Amino acid sequence: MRRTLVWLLIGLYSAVVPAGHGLMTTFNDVEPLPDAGLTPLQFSYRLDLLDEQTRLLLTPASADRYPLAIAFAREKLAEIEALVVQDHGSAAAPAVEAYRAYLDSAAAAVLESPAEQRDARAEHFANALLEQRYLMSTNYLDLPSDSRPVIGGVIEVAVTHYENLTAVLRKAFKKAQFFKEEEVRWAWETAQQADLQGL
Amino acid sequence: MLRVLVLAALVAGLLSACSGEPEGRYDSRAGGPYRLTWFSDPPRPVAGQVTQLTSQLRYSRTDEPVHDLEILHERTLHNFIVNLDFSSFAHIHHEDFAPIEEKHRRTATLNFPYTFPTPGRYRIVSEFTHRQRSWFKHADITVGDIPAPEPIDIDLKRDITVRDVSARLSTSPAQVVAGFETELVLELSRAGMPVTDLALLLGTEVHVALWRTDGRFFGHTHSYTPHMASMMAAIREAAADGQTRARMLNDMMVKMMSAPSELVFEGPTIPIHYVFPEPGVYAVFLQAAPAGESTVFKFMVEVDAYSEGMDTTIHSIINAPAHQHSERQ
Repeated sequence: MRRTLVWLLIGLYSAVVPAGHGLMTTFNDVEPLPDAGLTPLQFSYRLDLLDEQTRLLLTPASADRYPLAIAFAREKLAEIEALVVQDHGSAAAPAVEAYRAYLDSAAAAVLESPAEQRDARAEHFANALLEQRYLMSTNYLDLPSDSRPVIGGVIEVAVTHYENLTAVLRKAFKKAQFFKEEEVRWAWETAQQADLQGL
Repeated sequence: MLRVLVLAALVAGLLSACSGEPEGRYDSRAGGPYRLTWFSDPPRPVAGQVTQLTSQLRYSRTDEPVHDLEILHERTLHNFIVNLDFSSFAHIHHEDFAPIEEKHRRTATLNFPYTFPTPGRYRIVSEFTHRQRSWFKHADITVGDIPAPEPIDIDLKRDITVRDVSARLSTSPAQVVAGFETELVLELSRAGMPVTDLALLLGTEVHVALWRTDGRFFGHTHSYTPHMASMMAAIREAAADGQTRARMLNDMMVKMMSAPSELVFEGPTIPIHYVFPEPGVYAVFLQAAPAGESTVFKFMVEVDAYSEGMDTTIHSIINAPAHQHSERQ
């Protein structure tokens, strides 16, 4: 009975994916996160982090460092999600910090890019950040409610980077991002509604 | 004997590992809370012969069946099957052939027969609604021995005829721009006379399924009613900040989901609003029911990247406040 009531409440108050209404379908086939691999719960995680950071440091050209930083950032998201799934969201801090550091590294690589590549790379970074926010938001409802609040902090990191990036995005590109940004905001709003409803 | 059996099992295991997925099994792309797997019978579908397609929807985390799917637009699982050269299209469901019974719900297993018309690479996109959210999953199925893919025939004509119904597709703005709202208008006529006998088809006047011709950016949408237009206009006028718009959008979606089906457009025109996410050529399949008969009209639409100075204004046929992205900074 209680379960029925809960789902009735969802039906009344929670959001739905706007499938079928055409205005927000950008992320239907977004690339899912990679396998998490090691997580901070494992002894050798620090070594894994060190290996990633060393590889980034030893990659001098921004052209090579940028995709590496993005790949590592996605891996950190997968680790954070894996921890939340196991109800260990509180153990995610090292992965969140690494996520922030890899986005910093990606942002720096964008700015260091040769002028003729900077726009394209900044636009790729903008889309990558939106995709990451979307992925974390849409999976949110499926995560244990006690453990998932850490996701909000992760999304904040991506939001801050996106806002900083807008200063270097071409005006025309930024205009054409409007509905993507709306879709991502809406996806997170859905997740927050679930928290408000105690779901 | 035992040694022979163990050896046989090892060999079988190795062979299975080498060949990847078992024949006749098609897993949807990983990621997200759900995993949708398709099975075909026969395991190697043959063009022109009936194939039984069976879907199983499970939770990614627990591998338990998702047994409480919700019905949206009169069906539980909407399936769009397209040849990736975009020469054929189907919108098909379990309930088109048989009612859903308790055993189907309990095991989250649905099935239907389908005849792949020609050899080729097919994509099946399935849309389902669970816990008031809609999700898409897709899997690819190869039918027969196929030669190397040829370039897709791009045909941008705006007038076609299917059986006795002629269809014209127009867009506003005329030059479709990625990332901006576009109004597509399907206009139907029969023997030179406007079609005015459109019927509802699974709860709407038109189902639109579209893909960019590289198979990416699937979308599924429906007619855009004056009610929807006024709700969208209200959101734009009321909310300058994105967070508030997101909240209002939430409310609007819930209202739209719970609204009963209603025939708003009897013909000859049906407006549709869509935001093409990226530039490219899109194959657009519009399924409507003139005189109650389901009919698919296929068009291709070229979508450009936005550049400064482009006119993205919509001159809508819907009687609602004109809008486009003048508010964009």
